[in-house]
Amino acid sequence: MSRSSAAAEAVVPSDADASDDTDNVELELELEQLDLNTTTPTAVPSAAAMDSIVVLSHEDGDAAVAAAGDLDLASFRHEWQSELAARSASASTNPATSAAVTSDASSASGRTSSNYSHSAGASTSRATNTATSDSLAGPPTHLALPPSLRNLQSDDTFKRAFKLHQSAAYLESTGQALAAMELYREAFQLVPDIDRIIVDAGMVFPENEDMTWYDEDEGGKAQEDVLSDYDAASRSSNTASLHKRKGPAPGDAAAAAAAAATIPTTIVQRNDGDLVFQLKADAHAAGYDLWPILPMRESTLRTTAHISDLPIEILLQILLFVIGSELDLRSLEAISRVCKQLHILARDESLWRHATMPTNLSQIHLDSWEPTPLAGSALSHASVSVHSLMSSQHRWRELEAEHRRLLALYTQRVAQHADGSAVTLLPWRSVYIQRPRVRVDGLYIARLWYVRAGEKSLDNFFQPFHRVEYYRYLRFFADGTVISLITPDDPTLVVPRLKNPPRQTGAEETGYLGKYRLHGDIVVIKVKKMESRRPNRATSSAQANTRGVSSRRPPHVEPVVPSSLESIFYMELQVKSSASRRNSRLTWLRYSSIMHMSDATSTVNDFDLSSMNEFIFSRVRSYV
Amino acid sequence: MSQIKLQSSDGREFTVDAKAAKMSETIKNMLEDLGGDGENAIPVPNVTGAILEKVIQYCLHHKDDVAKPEEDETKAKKQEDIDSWDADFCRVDQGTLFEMILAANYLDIKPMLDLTCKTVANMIRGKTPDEIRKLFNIKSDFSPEEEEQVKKENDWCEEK
Repeated sequence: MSRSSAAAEAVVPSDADASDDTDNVELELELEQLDLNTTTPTAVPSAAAMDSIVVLSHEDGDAAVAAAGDLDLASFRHEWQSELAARSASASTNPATSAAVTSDASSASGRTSSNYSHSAGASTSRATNTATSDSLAGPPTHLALPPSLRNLQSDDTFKRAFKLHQSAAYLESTGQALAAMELYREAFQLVPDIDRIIVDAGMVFPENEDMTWYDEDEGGKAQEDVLSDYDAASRSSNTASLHKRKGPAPGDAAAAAAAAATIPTTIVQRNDGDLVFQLKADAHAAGYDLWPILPMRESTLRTTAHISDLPIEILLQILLFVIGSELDLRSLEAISRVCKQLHILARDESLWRHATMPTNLSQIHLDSWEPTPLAGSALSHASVSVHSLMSSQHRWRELEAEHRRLLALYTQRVAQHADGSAVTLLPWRSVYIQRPRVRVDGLYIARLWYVRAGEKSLDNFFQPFHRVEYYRYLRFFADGTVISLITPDDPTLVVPRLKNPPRQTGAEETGYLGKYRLHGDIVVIKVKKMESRRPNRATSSAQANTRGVSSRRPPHVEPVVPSSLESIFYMELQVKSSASRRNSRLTWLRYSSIMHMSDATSTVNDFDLSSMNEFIFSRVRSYV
Repeated sequence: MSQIKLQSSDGREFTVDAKAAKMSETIKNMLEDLGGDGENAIPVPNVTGAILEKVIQYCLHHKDDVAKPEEDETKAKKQEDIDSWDADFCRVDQGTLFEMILAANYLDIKPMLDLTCKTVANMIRGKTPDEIRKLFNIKSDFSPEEEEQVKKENDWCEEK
């Protein structure tokens, strides 16, 4: 740090003899900027960016492209001078900041060029941005509270918060992030939007830092001369947002003043980026590990513990519980909309990994109910052996294969965007959302019918046929359990019965229970008849109840064959999407019964699928 | 030594059954380090008397629980397995609940930490972002643009 502070004094000699608070702040800003320049060359190259960690690279000046840089520099100077003209014009209507602008003008040019020489090869976007940050970030020499703020805040509270914030900013600039965090938190507790107020009042501009940061990233890419469409697009969008930020053309003084009064927006659209990447980068630029959770204004003087007092790992644990075994990701997504920190936490890889992988990992018990594809199944899984119980080793191998498949998926995705040099895992959240899955927050319903011949009339000319309608229901649970139910009952009657896995309901024990497993977009299901917990009741009568009158039993319905010890039903269904709803249809690929006979043999019967309608998903709000 | 003394951050002393106190890994380790001196109270500097009282209440009720085998860890994430005593135990105001979480974390009492975290999770489930903000007194720090972007990113789960 000593190196930086020495340099700072050299750059701003006019401040060397000043001794009051305001100059400290000016110095800090200088330090922050120099910090960026002196420390960034050691940053890890972005090619290694993995998972949720946002690694931004900074390219140092490159002699080979210095000539291009000179051109940029010239255009930058021009722009900067125009900007300055606009600023001075607006300053006349805004005396509070006029001192800042004029005093800044003398030192800025020297500082700017020294700043800029670091990145001679940077693109135009970089240059305009540096201009913006320098001219906007020019630290005011007068830091007394603007009169307008005195009306808003009680003097003492605000002053204290302001001091805390300033001290925090200083600590942050010297690398003491933890101590800074404490002070920031105190400041925020006193005045929840202290940072915004400070920014609005033009006292400091923390935003300039992240702007620079982003653009150095982009600039670095530009240097390599591998400007793919992706880069170009994001560069132009950056430049566009910068122009918006800088306000209207020079000369339009009134508009410029108006623009200066509005809050500068920091949204930098990254073509591939979810908001979480940007928030993390912003937070990092502002010196946080994560954004603090801000309590509402009315509770600033709270005495009891607040959710923001909980450490990150505990908040994550709570979110994991929110997802729970039912995979309530809707609640998790609601949390992500609450505030910035909860957004970052709710997008955490560990949570979405848990949501994506549970049926593959510990939640399925290893038993004979592991659904394994039958011989001749539509699956081309070479690794899955027929009729074998999968050992845990086997399962791990399959898991690995799945993981490789996902990895391949993302490599493709990267290659589409850029030159393919960066290999990164697709975020688990994207995997979860994009890949086929069965939905656990409702029922898959297929409406079926068959024709049954009625009694002949007496004159032999007329024979009625009855169209018998019935339903097939599939209820999937997140833990790998599935219930298959065939009944003439309407969905309204069935929904409450299938809310919970059968071991918890106890009473209604009808239908077929088993396990399911996803192989790509094919779901493999193995079910057998649920054991009744009411032993007095004959199995057949229970069955008759489910299906109405037993004589009306539809074809292809699991027939009870007395001579078999156990019959198992095997289904292969393909997960499909409709135009507007993902994973909302299941189409039949195979439906078989496996009968284990008393003589230890088993027979497999395939059913005709021609009359089997597809399943359509209906969400049930009470399920998750 | 069947009884040990604990002293809270505000100076209150509690005499506790040693088995119950040892549910806390932190206290267990302290006892091992200090040796079997039952005379001096063990300081629990991060926990106030009111909260320590709750902690002790929990430990006394659960001291004879059989440790759950490791494989049940994922099962423990289920919401519905909070029994009625535990649910009553967690029926406190929010501030107290958070302090109980912090105490359970500091004292390293895993089942109590899980219970209290689950309780918070159950408070969150099924709520809208606004309801969550009201519940926990959280101010949104999203800009309107950011809010719109998150909404868009989350569109997928609004599917019927």
